[in-house]
Amino acid sequence: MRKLAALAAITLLLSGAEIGGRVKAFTSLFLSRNLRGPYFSHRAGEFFVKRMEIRLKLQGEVSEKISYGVRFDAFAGPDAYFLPFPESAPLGSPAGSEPFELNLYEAYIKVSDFLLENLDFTVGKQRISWGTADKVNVVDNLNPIDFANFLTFDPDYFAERRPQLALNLEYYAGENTKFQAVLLPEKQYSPLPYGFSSLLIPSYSIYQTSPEIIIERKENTLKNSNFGLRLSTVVQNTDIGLSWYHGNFHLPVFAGFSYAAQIMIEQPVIGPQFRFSYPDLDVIGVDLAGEVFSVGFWAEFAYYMPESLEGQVRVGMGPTVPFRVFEEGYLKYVLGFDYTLGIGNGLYINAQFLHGFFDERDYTKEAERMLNIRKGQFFGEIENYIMARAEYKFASETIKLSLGTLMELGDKTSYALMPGVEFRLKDALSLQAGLFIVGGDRQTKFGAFKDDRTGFVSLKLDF
Amino acid sequence: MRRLITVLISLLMVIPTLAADGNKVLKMVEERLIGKLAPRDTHAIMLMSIVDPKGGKKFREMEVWEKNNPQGDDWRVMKFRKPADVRGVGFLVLSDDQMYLYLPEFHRIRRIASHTKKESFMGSDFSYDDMGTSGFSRYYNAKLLEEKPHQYVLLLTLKPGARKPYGKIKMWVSKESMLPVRMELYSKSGELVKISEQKAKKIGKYWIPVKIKMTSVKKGSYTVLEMKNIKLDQGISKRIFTKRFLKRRVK
Repeated sequence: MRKLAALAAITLLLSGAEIGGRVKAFTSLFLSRNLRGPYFSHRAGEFFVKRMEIRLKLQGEVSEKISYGVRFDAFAGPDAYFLPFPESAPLGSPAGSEPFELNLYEAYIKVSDFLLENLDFTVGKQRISWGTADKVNVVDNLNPIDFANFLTFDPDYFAERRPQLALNLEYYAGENTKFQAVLLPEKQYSPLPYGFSSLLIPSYSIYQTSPEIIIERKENTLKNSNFGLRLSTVVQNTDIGLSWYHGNFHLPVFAGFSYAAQIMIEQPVIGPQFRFSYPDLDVIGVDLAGEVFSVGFWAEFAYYMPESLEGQVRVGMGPTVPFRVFEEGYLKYVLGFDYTLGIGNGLYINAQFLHGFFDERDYTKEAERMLNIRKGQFFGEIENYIMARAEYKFASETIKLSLGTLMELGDKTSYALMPGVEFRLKDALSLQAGLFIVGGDRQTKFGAFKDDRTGFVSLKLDF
Repeated sequence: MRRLITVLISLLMVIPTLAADGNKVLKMVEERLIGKLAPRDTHAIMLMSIVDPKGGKKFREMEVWEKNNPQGDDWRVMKFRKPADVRGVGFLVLSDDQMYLYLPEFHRIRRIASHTKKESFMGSDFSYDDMGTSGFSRYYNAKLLEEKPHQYVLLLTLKPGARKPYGKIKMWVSKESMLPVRMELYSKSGELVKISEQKAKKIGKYWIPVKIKMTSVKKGSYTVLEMKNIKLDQGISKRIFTKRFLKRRVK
């Protein structure tokens, strides 16, 4: 009876829902050989990613002021594993014969004019965007970056953030002013790619045995909850936002290791141990956007204040050496502009100067020395970047050519070039192809992918 | 000789009169488009058919809200309903240089600068500027070229320093509706770029453009924009023209 009632309730809910979604096939392959790369090992022509994605989104209103949204994402790799043979998998269970993942991407309920007029309340797994920059938002710390998909070089997942469980209050005071308070009752963590340890640990390859990874996480209690406050308004035709985030680092922080290199013959062998932590931090942010003489501009400044974290290193039979991991506070910022040049149908250009990629932090000199952390590595010291993009659409916007670039500046430099073409075959059906090419010094964050040149083809259908 | 001088003086007197008349006619057009004689607000469904030079067709469907702003540019909100890949995308125009785009996939509102007005609107033959709400007289001087039994023909020339994509516009205005029925849009180098043909309909006390065909002369493509389910003077709240409403889903 209860099941029947639940089924009836779901049917009633869905009867008024708008159903939409996307089917996407994404395939990429390596265009160069790299058998001893720091991140990948492959031959030229080997497939890198072969993936089908299906999104299903339901949206609807229960009443004039109550709405909801649910999105499921399913991923499947079409490579069947032949050990055991696919036929041996139970019927109706594709996960038994091929990698398959289903996740609830978002699910929220929104109540407008909740308790007060002009107060909106959204509860559930949701994406909350802060900031004015293009994708690289240093003030946006509520939702963690999807770092696992970042390394597939799929442009749809560049710096994409994952929705999180949150209670979100938005109060609109007047036409342009909004006050927002967000509570995230759980600590937030970025999804990491398989084998992420090699990315996190500098000089990982020198260790002969697999290290033991110790991950320190804080408990999910009300006292430990993450939260954010933001005030946004328009002054002199410029959008301005002030924000404060209190929460945790979404990506792990390498906080120490012990490595018993000199071991007595009679004693049991203890392998290296590596300690990772997700410490708390506060971020004060200012962002703005506007235009001058038709040129769009934006800027974001974020002052990061991590909690005091003690690192520890012990080598062999020596003493444990403690040290402070982070500087007390450090600044990240992004400055950008965009413009459409009057060439043909209009050549769109967009450029940003970025001080501090999403994974970078300001470590103490001691931490740099003890943990072998430097600029130009993932989870390393803060570095400067220039990101630029040009787009040209023609043939009634059925074809879009694009060229993206990311330049790493500093003592050692590197660049990534991402040329691409998109054909709009029909309304809501597009075919995309592109390249990821890296050049410059290998001792830099992106230069390390110099021999991992990839090309991709992607077909997307929205319904 | 005296006769020639008389003719020249007469001509010099006539030219300013025609120029003054041109601006007067343009003001009358604007009064009906965005001024006192325009509806206080409009809510409609906009259907767009884009026809490429080979005859291939694409369709767009939008819901549009507009409100007459007596202090400046009119306000406008557009919500895209079709096709599926742009469903839920919203566009808010508060002035010529304050515009926002809502991307539902990322739950993100982005401010967009006025340089985008040169770009094609959703792959159509209209640019964002063609879809604007700021009128003509702020940017163009008008001259009456000809007065026909049922039409005025105006020549609009760009004012010095004005940032608009067209150098001049030749406009045919219906005397009945006092709305443009045809416009030839020329680039700054004097090349004919687009032709706009409009049909207006009287709804209540207002003349409303209900169908516009925009032809790109060089490309050979055209777009037809039709307004359906037009509702006027509904007392649309200013709350519609906010970022809050831009994020709200509409059926």
